Amino acid sequence: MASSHDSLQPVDPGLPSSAPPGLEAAATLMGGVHLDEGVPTLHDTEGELEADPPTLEEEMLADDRTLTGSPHATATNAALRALARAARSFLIYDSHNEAIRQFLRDYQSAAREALALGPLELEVRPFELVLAGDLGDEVVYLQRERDKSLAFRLYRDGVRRLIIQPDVEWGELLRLLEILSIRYTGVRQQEDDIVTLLWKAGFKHIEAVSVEGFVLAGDDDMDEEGSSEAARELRRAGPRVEVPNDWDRPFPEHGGGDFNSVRYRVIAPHVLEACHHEVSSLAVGRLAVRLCSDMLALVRDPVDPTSLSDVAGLVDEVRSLLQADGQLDKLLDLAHAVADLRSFDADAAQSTLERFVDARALGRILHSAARGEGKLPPELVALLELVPGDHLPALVAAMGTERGSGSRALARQLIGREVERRPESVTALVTAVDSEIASDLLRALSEVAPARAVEAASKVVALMEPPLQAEVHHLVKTLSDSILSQSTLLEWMVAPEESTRLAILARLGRVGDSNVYVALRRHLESLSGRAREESSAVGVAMAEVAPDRALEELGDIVRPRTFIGRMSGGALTGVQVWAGVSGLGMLKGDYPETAIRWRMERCGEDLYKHCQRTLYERRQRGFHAGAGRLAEGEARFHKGFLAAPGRLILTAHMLCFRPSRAMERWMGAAQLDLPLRTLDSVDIDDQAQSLTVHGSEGSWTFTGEAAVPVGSALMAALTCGDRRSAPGDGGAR
Amino acid sequence: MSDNGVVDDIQASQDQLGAALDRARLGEDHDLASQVRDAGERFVRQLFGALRLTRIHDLENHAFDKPVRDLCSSVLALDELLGAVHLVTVEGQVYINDVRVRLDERLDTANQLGRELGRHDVGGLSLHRPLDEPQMKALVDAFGQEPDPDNPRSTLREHLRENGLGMVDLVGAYRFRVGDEDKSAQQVDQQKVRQRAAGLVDATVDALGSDRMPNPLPVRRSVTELLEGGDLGDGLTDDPAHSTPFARHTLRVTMLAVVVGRQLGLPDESLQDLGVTAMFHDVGYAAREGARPATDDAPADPGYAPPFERHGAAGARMLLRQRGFHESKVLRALGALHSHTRFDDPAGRPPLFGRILHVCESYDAMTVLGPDTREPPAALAALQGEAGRRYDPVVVQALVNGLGRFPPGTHLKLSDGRRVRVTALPKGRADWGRPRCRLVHDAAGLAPAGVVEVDLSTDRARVAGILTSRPV
Repeated sequence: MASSHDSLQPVDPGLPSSAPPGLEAAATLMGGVHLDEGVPTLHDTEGELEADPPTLEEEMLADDRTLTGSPHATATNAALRALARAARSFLIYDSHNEAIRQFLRDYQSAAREALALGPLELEVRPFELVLAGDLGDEVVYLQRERDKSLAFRLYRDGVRRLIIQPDVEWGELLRLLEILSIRYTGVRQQEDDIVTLLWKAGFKHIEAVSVEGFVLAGDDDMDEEGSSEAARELRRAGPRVEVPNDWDRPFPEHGGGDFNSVRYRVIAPHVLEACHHEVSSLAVGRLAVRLCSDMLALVRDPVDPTSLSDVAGLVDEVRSLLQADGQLDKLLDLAHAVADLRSFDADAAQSTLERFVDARALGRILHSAARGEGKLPPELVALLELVPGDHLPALVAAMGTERGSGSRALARQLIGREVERRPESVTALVTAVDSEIASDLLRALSEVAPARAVEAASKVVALMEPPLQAEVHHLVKTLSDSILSQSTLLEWMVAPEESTRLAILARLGRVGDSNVYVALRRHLESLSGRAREESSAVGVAMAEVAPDRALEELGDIVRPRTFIGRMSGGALTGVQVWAGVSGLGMLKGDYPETAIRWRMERCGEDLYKHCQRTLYERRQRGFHAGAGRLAEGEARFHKGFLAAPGRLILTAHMLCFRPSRAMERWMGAAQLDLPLRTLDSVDIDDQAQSLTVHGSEGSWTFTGEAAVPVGSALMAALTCGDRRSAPGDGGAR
Repeated sequence: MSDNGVVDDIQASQDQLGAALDRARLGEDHDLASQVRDAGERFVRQLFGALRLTRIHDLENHAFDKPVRDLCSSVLALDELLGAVHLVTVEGQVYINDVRVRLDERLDTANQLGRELGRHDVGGLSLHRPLDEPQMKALVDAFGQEPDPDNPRSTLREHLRENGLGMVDLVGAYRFRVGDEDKSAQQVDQQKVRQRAAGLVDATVDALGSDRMPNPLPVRRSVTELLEGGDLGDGLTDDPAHSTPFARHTLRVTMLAVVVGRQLGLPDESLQDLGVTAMFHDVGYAAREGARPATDDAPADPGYAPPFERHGAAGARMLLRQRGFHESKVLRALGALHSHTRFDDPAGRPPLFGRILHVCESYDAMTVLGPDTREPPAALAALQGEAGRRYDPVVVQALVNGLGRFPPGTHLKLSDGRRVRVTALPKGRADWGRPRCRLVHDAAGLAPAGVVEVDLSTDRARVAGILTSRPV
């Protein structure tokens, strides 16, 4: 190949010669032209002295030299750097990493740009690639570190020219990258080099001219030492291991055959296709299993000296391949072939089989099978059944490495099988493994043995582990009442995660009865001042489990009934008032509304908004004032010498008086909220239109046109005696 | 660049690439590669150090004790990993069995070792067995002496043999080939290619029979050269010199297998694998059953080659010593196992490469190995007679199509009285029955002075008959 080895040919005479002296010398030696390079300035160099040493990632991904020159050369340099970078990236990243994708994009776009300017005809030198362009040879790649150098990889394996045509397909460029990546990672050194890989690729638009990587300096038939026969004989001394002279004997006997019937016959395309398929990459799994089966059959043959140790390595390799590829059907076939060894050597067969379902194997299977539809492959089940033993530890270990969502879903299904067999083992494991895996175990338990799930969750509910808390939350939301009792729910209130406790409180409110009221109140008393959301939830739950009691207690919290209590605004903590407001919001009637409104006029901005929101929600629910009233009307409240005009209201739970004069409303002296349960008797005077109510805390007298009707209704209510909430009346159920 | 929609999507590209690399990684024996590098680096440093020490001390000096001991253990470690240790120095680098040894470039060990060996015109050496300490001293001593000015390498080689170091091979200086060399003399090149291939067969038998690891890469390179050589007709009739009968047979079967593979339209990758499989198909005969090391009571028993019915399994066992999964390894082992399995075997149809090798083996046995050889056309007819029973009919037909009506090596009498020998394969159906030949005798019965080619596809004479006895 003609080349400009002997003289420098500048691309553009106008370009200054700025290459460092060393590189110029190298250029003189090797020929070709050195382009302007991005040479670090002294300033840059000084900065580097203080820099930390590069990480392996930085080192391997550090760019090769950026070279500029003609547009084609510049673009080619960019493409080659992108190619080298993409190939080296597999040393750092897993092949499915997102980072790889970006390198591929870079490579694709850079290659397109370079090829748009013409073919890439590259001469391969030890550390350089030289482009044969219209303007002469230009160095378009330079990397002197052998471990990183694309040029060295090619050169060392014997590639001397690489030509990429402009109409090359992306698939071919990708295959070129694959070949170089394989060689960068040093794989298959015994089997392939770049030349054999390039040859096998059968490129249509990429040509590689190669020679044997390194050869004897003298020509083979021109021994520098004089081509003496003795030297040849010495060099070609016969093998020490000799094949017997009668190899392949006895030869099979053949008949004469009919010479005239020997004809050229076209072999049908479908027959050829079948032959190709037999040795295609798709058939590798089948062939590998066939080989293992054949070799294992030899192991069982008492005449043949093949032992299991001769085959064990192969079985392991094929097993790994099938696991990684997700070929579970063939993996099962292989396992059966190994199982057939049981009659020959039970221990060996068992230990080999166990490696089919050990932690590493299961991890691989989970990884590859997760690419499917999420269903548990029946072959996997069959494989587990073929290998007796406890698979749970291996499964748990595999789950530790395979955390993708698909793998986890499959793992849970497998655990589900184990739960059916050994629920106690799975339950015991929950506290012994890390929280992510424990959450998967809990999930599997909940699906197959929910009572066990509750048992296990109770052991971990107090742990501040987000996955476990999330799982407990899930249990609270999904388990049936028969499985998850309210006493258990109360125990689980120790959960450190607030969202878990909120879920528990919501469920308690929904399914709990008045027996939990005290516990709820105690919990409320334990809350800190910032736990507003939780305190609200407690209040709501209290209102739901025991509306009557809640009405009184929460009402008293929000708007104290005694005058002094009201004057002092209540000596209760903020969170308790918040709980009270929320709880009252769940109860129908005037009293809750009155109480909330009273509090609104005496609180800070946050609580004011909370009250406002609660009142709004009450109205949305139809719990507003006026709802559930049994009787009402204008009356006067007589207290001592005072007679305050206002409105007398009777609901199923309360007898309330609302003074109409602003001063008395503000003072709160004339405002009354009397729980019916605290009232004993009623005296009505029709003619005087008066009503006197007697209770444990005193007596109150009302006059006016509403006194008698309200009194009568009150008497009826007291006579019925059922003051518990009924649907649509004061309660929140 | 045209966009092929199939893999234009980057995600699909990554998936494809990832799958290929994941599969390739299964074949990687990471441990082996790094162990070879580490042990190789130690060996190179120690060897260089010992050679330099000869400048300062006499070999009997105790200063050599530890270096020699270290060298022996390094070689032993490498031998256990690889079998034979092949060290090559080339242009400032050192390779141990094709694995580049990483040396500190500041110390320039590689270049200096190259110069040390280069004093004796040696560029590489192979150690086929571990050396004990006296042997290692002798090796170091030999290199430490002044080289013969006239024949440095031969002299050194003789010296090594005289000192019981026959397990050490020396080769000349290596270089990287710079550019594509002149390949105009294709005929000569192909002869050299076949010669090298035959030598490789013998070397492979030697290596595998000595319990070393299989080394397919040089065989693969050799097969690639064969495949690029075009017509294999010459090779089927022109055995390489200085090769054993076994190597010649293996090479012929390889070329026949390639003929079949081409007729079946196998892609290049499969064709290459087929060739490599064929090159290894009979290595089982290098095994030794019943071998026993010496004991206090009895000498060593070298064992015996496996009988015919077990040589396939023996070959498969040898080939499976190679570590790391590779589909080609599977194909080779299956080829070795099934190169004599009947097509109608009740245990199941043998794999394709096995079926191909079976046909090719039988063809070679009938035409070359004997004891009663027959003319190639008769061999084809015999194969065809067993098609569907002993042999795959598709494979037999492929061989028939590929070799022609008159396969290479057939002696023909032409209608004009000339006698010719077929030398080439048909190009296709058109010349299937009218091959290219070489004149053996003219019509007067005289041998030609030089090589005279006769192309029956253009010659007016017709084939009058097949000569069943070879002319003298």
